[in-house]
Amino acid sequence: MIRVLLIDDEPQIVRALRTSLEVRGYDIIDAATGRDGLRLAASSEPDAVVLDMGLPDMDGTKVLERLRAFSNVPVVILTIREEQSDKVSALEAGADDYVTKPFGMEELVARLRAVLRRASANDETESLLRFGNIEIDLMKCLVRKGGTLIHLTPKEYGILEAMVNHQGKLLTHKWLLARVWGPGYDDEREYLRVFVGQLRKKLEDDPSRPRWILTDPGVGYRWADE
Amino acid sequence: MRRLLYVRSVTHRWQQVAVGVALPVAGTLVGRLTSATTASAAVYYLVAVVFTAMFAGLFGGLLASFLSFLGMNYFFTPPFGTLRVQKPEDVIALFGFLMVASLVATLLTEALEQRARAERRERETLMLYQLSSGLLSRDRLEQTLGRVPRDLAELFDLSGCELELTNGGSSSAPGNLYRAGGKGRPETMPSSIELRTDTDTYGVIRLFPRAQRVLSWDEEDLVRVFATQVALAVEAARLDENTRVAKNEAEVSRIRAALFSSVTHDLKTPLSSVKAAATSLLEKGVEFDRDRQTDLLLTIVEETDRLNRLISNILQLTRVRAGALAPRKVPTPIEDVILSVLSRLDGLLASKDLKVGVKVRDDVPSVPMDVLQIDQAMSNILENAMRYAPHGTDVEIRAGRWQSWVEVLVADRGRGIGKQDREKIFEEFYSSDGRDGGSSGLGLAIVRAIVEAHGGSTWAEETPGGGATIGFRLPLTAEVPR
Repeated sequence: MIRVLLIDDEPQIVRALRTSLEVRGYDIIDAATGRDGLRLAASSEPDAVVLDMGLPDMDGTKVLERLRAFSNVPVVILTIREEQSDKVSALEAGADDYVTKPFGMEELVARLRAVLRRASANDETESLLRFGNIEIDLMKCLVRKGGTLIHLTPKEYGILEAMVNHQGKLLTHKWLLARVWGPGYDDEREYLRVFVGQLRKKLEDDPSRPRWILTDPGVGYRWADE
Repeated sequence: MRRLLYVRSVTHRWQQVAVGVALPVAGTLVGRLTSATTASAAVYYLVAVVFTAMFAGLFGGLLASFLSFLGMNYFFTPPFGTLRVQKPEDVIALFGFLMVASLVATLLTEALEQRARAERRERETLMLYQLSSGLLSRDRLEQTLGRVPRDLAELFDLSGCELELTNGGSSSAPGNLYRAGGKGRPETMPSSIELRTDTDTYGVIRLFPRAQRVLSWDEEDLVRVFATQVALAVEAARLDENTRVAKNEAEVSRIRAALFSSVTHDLKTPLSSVKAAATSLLEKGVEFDRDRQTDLLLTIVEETDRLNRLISNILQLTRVRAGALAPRKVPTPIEDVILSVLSRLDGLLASKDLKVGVKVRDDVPSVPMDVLQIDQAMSNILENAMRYAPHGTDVEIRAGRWQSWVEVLVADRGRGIGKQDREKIFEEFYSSDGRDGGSSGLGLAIVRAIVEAHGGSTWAEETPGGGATIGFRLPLTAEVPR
């Protein structure tokens, strides 16, 4: 059973989350303060953490920092702040993804599934991925759309591979640039924009309304969940 | 002849003496050289006296008269070479000459002085007239007040002049002080003339005349009249200011009242829907089928989203009112923002069966923008388009580059916007269809405020073939406008 730790001081939200997630088969433990949350994270080894950034006793970023000092557990944060800079800061402090309040339950569940998928993906690797009429062979590095072989440049393939391996998860500009271009390129957002645009043209049925390659303006890109 | 009357006479005594001696001497020389008769000599001497009066004033003229009289006697009246006179008629003639010369000198100097005075009065009046005209213009009042001390000092040849405004008769706090001249200590005690109207005193004009040139009574009177003008102008300007402030405050109150009632309505409407739907589902003794349940639950979700959007708009409005928009610009692809907004409004679009087409041209670079603000702006524009687009129609979003701008156009196929309303729709609380549209009229006003804070512009036009198009431009350069 997958264990999820909820760290949130608002009882109504915790109630709604608990009800919703337990129905889906998750085991839920919760804490109402940052301190208790960190304690529980250390002692009960959850598979994922849902952390509210507006805790009464500690700043959410602090909790993230302390948590990351001893654990790699996937974290999805709940935040009211919509500023891009705040989201990017949280992601750089160690959060894996975010959801802004008020959020739809399906959104939070999708984020959780996506970050959990990453964790479990290390155990078993699926080499052939299918999304709509797109087929990706990770072993042979081949991409087909509607049966036709699509030629991708190395950078384009690099971006695609990173995104599908983290399906549903938000990948920051910085992270993608570092991964595909290497460290030191983390400011070159225009590169990403150009290459993502090319990917969309090659893979999406309607590049102007993408189905798979989604964007979070000012923050990063994400491969659609389902 | 008239020209001659414009000469200036010398002022110092010794100069006057010099002239008063020199000219009769000259007259004597001329007379001797031409071996003039007594009568001719009298003419030469009179000419000398006339010129002396012109150049050396009354003192010089009278001195010249007396010296001429002596000269007449000594050089041109027998017995020559003495001051004695033989014939009695010569005595009468001599004294007659003295009288005429003195009279000429006196009358001439008087005439010249009057002329000078008239000139001066004309200049003063003209200058004061110009200053007064300056006072009439509200905008130039400040400028004019600054010029007053300088002009008055020049006009009346003062060593210094001050204009001090007070903040109303009751307040003792100093107002503005304008000053001219007065380097070093003033030469004399100042005369103070108050700036006064029937209602209040607004300040004072201080005149510091030179030691040798005190103001005459009528000159002071003239300044007094002028001072009243200044006082009236200051009074009018202050009243204007008070009216403006009062009007502003009234306007702010009006907007607050409108906002309050509008916001109350717009917040309560979705809340009412949510409560109605939720309590329906909780009703005992009523069985809703699956579809109806879904329907009610969807209402709850949509209305909470709507409430969320409204709250964002209100927050932006408070920022706009506080002048605190200050966009934090980051180069961002415009298509990212468009897509993000579309995904958020997806449900609403589907409920009206609207098809949204997005066309972003290839030559559009990333635009420096505050993502959150432009997202809000796009969301408002789209929501507006959705409100007016008929069921099942298309909504087109296009973005392209135009010189150093990025242009975004959102076009619907609704009933369009009449020419007279195209600017009005961007006003706060403007709603073309009263309350039916379900909008407090904030959305587009906030769009305009956000876009303009970015240095851009907004407008509305007709969609070719029918409908309304809302457009905005954002600059591609990163400078934030003042």
